[in-house]
Amino acid sequence: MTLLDWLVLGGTLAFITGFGIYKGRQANSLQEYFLAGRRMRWYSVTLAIMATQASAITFLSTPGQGYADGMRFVQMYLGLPLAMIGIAAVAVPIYHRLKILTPYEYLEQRFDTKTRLLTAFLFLLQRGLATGLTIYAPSLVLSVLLGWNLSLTILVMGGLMITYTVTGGARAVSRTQPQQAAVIFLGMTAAFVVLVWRLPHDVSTTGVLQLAGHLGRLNPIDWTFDLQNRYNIWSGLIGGFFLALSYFGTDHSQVQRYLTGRSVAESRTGLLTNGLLKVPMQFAILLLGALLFVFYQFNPAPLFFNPVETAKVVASERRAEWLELEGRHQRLLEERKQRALELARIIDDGPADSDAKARQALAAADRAVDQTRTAAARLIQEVDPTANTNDVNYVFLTFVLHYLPAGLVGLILAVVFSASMSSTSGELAALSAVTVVDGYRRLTRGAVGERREVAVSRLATLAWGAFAMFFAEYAGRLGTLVEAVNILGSLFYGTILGIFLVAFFAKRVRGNAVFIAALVAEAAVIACWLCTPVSFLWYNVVGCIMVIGLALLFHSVERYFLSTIGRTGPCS
Amino acid sequence: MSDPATRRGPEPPEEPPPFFGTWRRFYLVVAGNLLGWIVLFYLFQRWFS
Repeated sequence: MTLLDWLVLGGTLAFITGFGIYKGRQANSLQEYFLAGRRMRWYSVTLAIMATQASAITFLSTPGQGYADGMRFVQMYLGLPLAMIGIAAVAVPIYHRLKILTPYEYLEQRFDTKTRLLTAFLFLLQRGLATGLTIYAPSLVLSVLLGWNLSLTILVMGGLMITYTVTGGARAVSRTQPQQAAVIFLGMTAAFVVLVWRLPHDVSTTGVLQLAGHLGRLNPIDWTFDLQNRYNIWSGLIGGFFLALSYFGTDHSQVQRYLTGRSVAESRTGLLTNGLLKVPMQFAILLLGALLFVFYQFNPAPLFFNPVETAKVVASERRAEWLELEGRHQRLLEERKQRALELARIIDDGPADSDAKARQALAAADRAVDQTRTAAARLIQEVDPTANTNDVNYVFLTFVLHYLPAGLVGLILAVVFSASMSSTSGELAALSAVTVVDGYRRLTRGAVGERREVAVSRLATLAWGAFAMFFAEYAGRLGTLVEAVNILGSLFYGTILGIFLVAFFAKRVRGNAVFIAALVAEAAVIACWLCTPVSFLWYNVVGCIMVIGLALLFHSVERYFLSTIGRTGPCS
Repeated sequence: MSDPATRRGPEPPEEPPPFFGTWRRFYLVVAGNLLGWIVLFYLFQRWFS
């Protein structure tokens, strides 16, 4: 990193943090602290929704996902626009009309206290753990940049996020998200342009894309229906729909964002605009990852992308083995580069069906590179059995640090930190809101006054920040972060969504039926995760349908017994 | 408990969206946009592989 990079990074972060703290300094009521006084226009709501969802994980891990697994991950987002329509049509008017601070308040009014508390608890557990993942991502960047221990960088990043959220609340979050979104858009566009520019000039854009296609990276649509296949169009449209419906409709970290809208129309428009933009945005980020894979066909790539783990092996007594592997890796990369150039030339100039041999040669060279990388990962594990051998999250970061010009590196890192600040602070504000509104205020019955409640909210933010930092210590072992965060959500979202759908549409079902149904459904989802090979997106469907089905069943049983008692009389 | 969402009398008239005239049309635009992306992704994949 050059001095210019540090200046760009420091300047951007100082401006955003200072602006947020300045704007959020006068929050004296819970409406103001949690919902920014409900004064936001639709475009601010859209930016806030997108910025809360797009954490540092999106910009670090998603290109890595595209690099390693191609673009099929985009299918996960295909259900999102349909979910936006459902939430805009049904949930937004209800939440606005009731003037609630959290969606779980509605459940007490509709069912009972225990259903509200159960749903709030599931949200807190899931979101508290997920916030650990969002703190982990920028800490990882800082650890690579400064060479510091990861635990220390988690402490530094977590501390920064907590300070920012405690001092500003939702107002700080909402006011700074447009600026953060602008930094993110500018930085990612610049990275894309530089990546394309640094590809070999004698290979056409079509040649580059066809090369990515031949290497299996341009695969955004898979029509096969397979419950064990994580990403196909059916899991995306159905499972992704349920996931998005639950995340945007019932997860307070998102509900809080659009409750800041000044009217139903502003909140609805904010959500629907997100439905228009999210799919192309994810497509662009994954395409960046796919092109990164092509880029590394022509440019030197490290044997292992995680420099911290590499340094441990180099410093160990097995250094010689590592150097030997590195030498072999470089030779294989050169071989692969020649095969890639050959295929690219045939794609551009050769006859249409003369590329089969060249494709096979490139595939064989690629397999040889993969085998060396697998051997390197094994060596890392042998040196340190606790080491993280998944380096997908470091792929984009490595490109940024080694290939982007001075100044732009600082800007991309500002993207990572901005995204992290906006999502983490949004999540911490939501955790704090649910703890206070659904827990503390419920216990004290609102007898302590709003100033005291705001003070407790700040304390709750601090406590949840500490919890998330503790979990962040373990996040590195969960593989690709962007998958880990969605798997974690899918374990709870189906059940929560089912409770809300019963509340909205099954008007006669009461608290006891839905509460027991939710407990059984959650146990079934966890059993599904532990004991079956079913892909995670389907957990959302399983949980939701089980809650609805069982709640209706228990309600019928309850009615049957009540009517039987009514007929026979209590003393018979 | 009754549904609090329907407990408070008739709903106020809906404010129209800033674009597309009606909410129904806005919803159709979002759904149509998704369909368009799916078709484009499919063609993109076919073309480049």
